[in-house]
Amino acid sequence: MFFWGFFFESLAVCIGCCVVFQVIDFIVTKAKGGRAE
Amino acid sequence: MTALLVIGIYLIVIIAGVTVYVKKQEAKLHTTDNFMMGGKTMSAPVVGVTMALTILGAVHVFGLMEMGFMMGAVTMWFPFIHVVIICIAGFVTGAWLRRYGLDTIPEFVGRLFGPYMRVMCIMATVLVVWGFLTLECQGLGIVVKSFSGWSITTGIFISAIAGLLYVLLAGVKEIGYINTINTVIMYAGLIVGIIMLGYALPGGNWDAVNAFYKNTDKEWMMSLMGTATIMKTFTLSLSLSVLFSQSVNQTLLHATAGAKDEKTVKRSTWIAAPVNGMFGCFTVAIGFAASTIPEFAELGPKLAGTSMIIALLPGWVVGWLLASFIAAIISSFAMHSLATATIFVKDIYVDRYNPLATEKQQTLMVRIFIVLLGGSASVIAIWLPTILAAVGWVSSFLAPFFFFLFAGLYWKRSQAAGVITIAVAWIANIMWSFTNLWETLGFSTQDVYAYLTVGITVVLGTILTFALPGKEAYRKQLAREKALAAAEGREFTYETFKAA
Repeated sequence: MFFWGFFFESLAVCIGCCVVFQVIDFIVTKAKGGRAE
Repeated sequence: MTALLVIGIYLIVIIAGVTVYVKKQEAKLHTTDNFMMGGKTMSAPVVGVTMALTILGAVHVFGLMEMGFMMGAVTMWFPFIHVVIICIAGFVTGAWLRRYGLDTIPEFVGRLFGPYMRVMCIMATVLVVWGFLTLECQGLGIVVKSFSGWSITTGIFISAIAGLLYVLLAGVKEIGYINTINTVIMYAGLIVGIIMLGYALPGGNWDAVNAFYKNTDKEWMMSLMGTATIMKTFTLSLSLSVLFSQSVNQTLLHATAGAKDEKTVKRSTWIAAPVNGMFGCFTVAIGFAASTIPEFAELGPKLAGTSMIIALLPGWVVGWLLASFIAAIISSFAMHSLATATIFVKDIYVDRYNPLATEKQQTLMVRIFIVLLGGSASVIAIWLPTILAAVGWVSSFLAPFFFFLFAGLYWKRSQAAGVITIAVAWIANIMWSFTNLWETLGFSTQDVYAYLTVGITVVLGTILTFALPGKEAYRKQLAREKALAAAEGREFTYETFKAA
C-alpha cells in the first residue's frame, strides 16, 4: 500500500525531528549543570 | 449545502460549550490576563495542538494538494520544515518567551535591545501576521466555494464571522480547547477519507497510482527525496524563507507565552510536531493521486484534488473532509487575529498610552482590534488574489530578528547595530523588489528575498554588533541579578525582574 508507507515515513521524520531537538536540549541542560535557568 | 449547515451548527454548539467551560474554569482558578494569555495556565496538549493548527492553514490544504500534483512526495518537505519550525519554537524561542514571562516577540526584542528595535519588530510582525490573516480568509472562501458553489466573497464573509466567534468570546483558551476537539475530528475525517479514497481509486487501491508513476518514468515522484534539482530549488529556498521568519512569529509563539511553564512548552512540541507535520501527508496524497487519473489531471493542479474528492467519495465523507479543512484554516484565522490584536494592545496601547490599563480595558481593546483586523483582512482578501506571493515577501522582513534574539541573549545587545542592520536589510529588500537591481546583478530570479535579508543581517549585524558599543548579553545580566538577589537573601523570579 503506497499511502501507508508514505504515511509512516513522514511520521518517522516528524518524530525524529523532535528526538533530535530533545536530545540537544538535554545536552545543553546537562552542560549547564542539569538545572533550568 | 447540507454539509455546510451541519458544520455551522457544530461550530456554534462547540463554541458555546467551550466558552461556558472556559468561563467556569477562570472563575475557579482566579487567574489574570485570561483572554490574551489564558492566565498562563495552558496545558501541553492545548498548547501543542494550538501551535500545530496555527501554522496549518490554507497553504497546507490547497498549496500542498497543488504541489503534490506537480512534484509528488517531495512536497512533504514543506510540512517537514514546519516541523523544524515548531521544534525551534518549542525548544528555543517559545521556551525563552515563557521562561522570561514575556507575552509578545516585540516585547522580547524591546527588553533585549530597547524601544526602537521593539517598534521595528512590531512593524514587521504586524505586516507578516496580517498578510497571513488575509491569506487564510482567501483559503476559507475557496473551501466554501469548492464544496458549496457559493461565491468566494460569500464564503469569505461567512467563514470570517465563524472565525471571529472562534476567538472573540473567551480568547486564547477558547481557541485551544476548540482546536483540541477539532484535531480529533479532523484526523478521524482525514483517515476515513484517505481509506475510502483508496477503495474509490481505479482498481480499488493505490496500486494503480504506483503503477502510473513507474510506467511513466516518474518514480522519483514517489520518493520523499524527489530529484536533486527539486531538493536544491524547492526545499532549500523554502527552508530559508520560512524558517527564520516563522520561528520568531508571534502567531506561533502566542500559545507558548500562555503555557503553564517552560517545561510545558517543551512537552507540547511532541504533540505539535506530528499533528502539524502529518496533515500534509493527506493533502499531498490527494493531489498526487489526482494527477494519475486523466479526467482530473486535465483540470490542472489547482482543481484536480478537490474535484476528485467530490466525484469519487460519498457525500458524508466529502462533508467530513470539508469540516476538516475548514477546522484547519479557521483556527489559523482565529489565532492570527488574536496575535496581531495582542501586539496592538500589549506593545502599543498598554506600553505607550495606558500602562495602568485594567484587564477589563485590555480585553475590550483586544476584542475591538480582533474585529477590525479580521474584518479588514476579509475585505482585502477579496481584492488581492495573489496574496500568497506577497506573504512570502513580507516574511523576509521578519527574518532578521531571529539573528538578533540570539545575539542579544548570548553575545551583546547593541540597539544601534540592530536598527542600522535591519534598516539596511529592509531598504535592500525593497530596492530588490521594486527595481531591476536583480537583473543588473545577473540573477536569474528575483525570489531570493529571505536570502537577501538574512545574508545582510548575518554579515552586517555581526560587524556592527562587534564594532558598536552595547550592553552585555541578556543572560549574563540575568545571572548577575540572580547572584545579587541571592547575596541579599531576596527571591529572584523572571516575572519580578520583568516588572522591575
